[in-house]
Amino acid sequence: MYAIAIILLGIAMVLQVLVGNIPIRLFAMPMNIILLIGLLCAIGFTPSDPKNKVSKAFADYGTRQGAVFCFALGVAAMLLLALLPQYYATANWTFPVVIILLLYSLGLAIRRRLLTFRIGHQRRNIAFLITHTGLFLALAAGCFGAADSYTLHQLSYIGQPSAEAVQETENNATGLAAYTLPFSITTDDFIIETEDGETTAYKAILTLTNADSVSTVVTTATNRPVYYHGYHIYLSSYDRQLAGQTAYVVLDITKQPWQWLMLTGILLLLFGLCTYILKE
Amino acid sequence: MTNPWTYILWITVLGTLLNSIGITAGYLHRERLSMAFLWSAVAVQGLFILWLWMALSHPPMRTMGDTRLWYTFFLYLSGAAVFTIYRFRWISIFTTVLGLVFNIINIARPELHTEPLQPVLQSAWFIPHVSIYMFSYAVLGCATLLMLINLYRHSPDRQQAANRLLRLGIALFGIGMLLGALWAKQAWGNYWSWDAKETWAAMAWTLYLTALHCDRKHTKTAAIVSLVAFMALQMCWWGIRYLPQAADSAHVYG
Repeated sequence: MYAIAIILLGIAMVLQVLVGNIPIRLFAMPMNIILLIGLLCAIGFTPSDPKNKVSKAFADYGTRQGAVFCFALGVAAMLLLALLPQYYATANWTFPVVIILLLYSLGLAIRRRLLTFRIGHQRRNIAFLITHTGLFLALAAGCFGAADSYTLHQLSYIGQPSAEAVQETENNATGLAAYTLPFSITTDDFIIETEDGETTAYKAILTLTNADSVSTVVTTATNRPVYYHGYHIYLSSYDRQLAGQTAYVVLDITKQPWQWLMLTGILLLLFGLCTYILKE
Repeated sequence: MTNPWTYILWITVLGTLLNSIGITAGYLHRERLSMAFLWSAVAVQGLFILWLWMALSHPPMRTMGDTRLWYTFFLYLSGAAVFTIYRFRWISIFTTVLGLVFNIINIARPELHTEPLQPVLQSAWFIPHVSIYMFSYAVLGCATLLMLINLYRHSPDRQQAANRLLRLGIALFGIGMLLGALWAKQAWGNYWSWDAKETWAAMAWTLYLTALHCDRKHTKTAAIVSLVAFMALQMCWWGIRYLPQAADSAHVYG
């Protein structure tokens, strides 16, 4: 079990030295789907009754010991993220390796519970399956879906339509790259509410125009994003010096095709954790 | 209409008194009496919030003072619920003390009653997200303490109580994290962005999961891991304010 992790992490470190951070778009659809299918096949074909040392090394990932080992790897990676963010980021090759090992361990544990599911022990098994499946889906969506996700920013001047936005480059090393949206955004108005000089709320009225020149007027505010043609649009900021007289607003725009899978995982996990509280 | 805030001191005294009687009854094994008083404290705090709601003509969720009332309410509720379901008497002491702290802050700093929340914090997710986290901190703290005591004075009952508290705390902490993820998508665009607070929260949760998954024979390992997890939890809660690497965290307000 440890040897497998050492080999995989060793390859990742060599790649990190040779190539630098992961060129994330290289793993965009369909590559990430292929890798996910590969992971599922690995989970499915790992022998549940290992006959030799090699197959036992893989099968051990589905045990408590395997889970503890994967958690330890995860904690180590998170510690690096938290304490050395200037040297270690999620785009480091070792990070997805750690997540994939954890997914492999989760997948084997789920498979084992499904194979040993006995009528009469439904409550306990169902709670286990819901929580572990939810965590698997959420982690898998986050890991494999990252290559298809875009976080964009647009400086939208009031009254001026624009389809141009900027995104952080794949490895965060070379600044921002241009991105053309499939629709244009015009900020028609920006409204700010204050109380005793403190800003209490603000919102922007936008006109979104698609490629067929069909326009939709929407309002966006903090905690109230707009969903349009697969993109979520968030009102992020404005010129704080001019406040209500601002000439522009800053919009954050996200495109995450895998968000629905992640949401499913989160809701399953949430429901599962609630059942753990009640079943005690 | 009378300003309800002028009565916050009396509400605090009454709530603390009811909780204290409830806790004492619990330790005297008068469980029904204990539950009656604990739930009465919840009702008193809840009715005060309702009164404030009627006086303001909108839900009291816009100021720092409002949020602290809700923290106290959910803490009292959590303590009463845990005692009702699990009969853990310890928890009510923590939730009463913590709830009292928030009410005292409201009494000592009346300017908070009208100080508006930043727009990003004006969300229905805010109060449940923070309240459940605080409650989970109390439960996990208890679990860690019991496991450490068990290292020196082993008792199967204490170990069992620690395991139950650990499972409960992990579930609550996870729920708090997931509510935060759902809110983050609505506010910032991503369910999870490895922000400093998120990273330390995930680290603490993973460490507690590690303690939970330790083999039942390795109780010493589990106890030590849960102590490390508790330290990570402190970093998540208040330590990131002092961590230079976390200066850009979206969770550091003002």
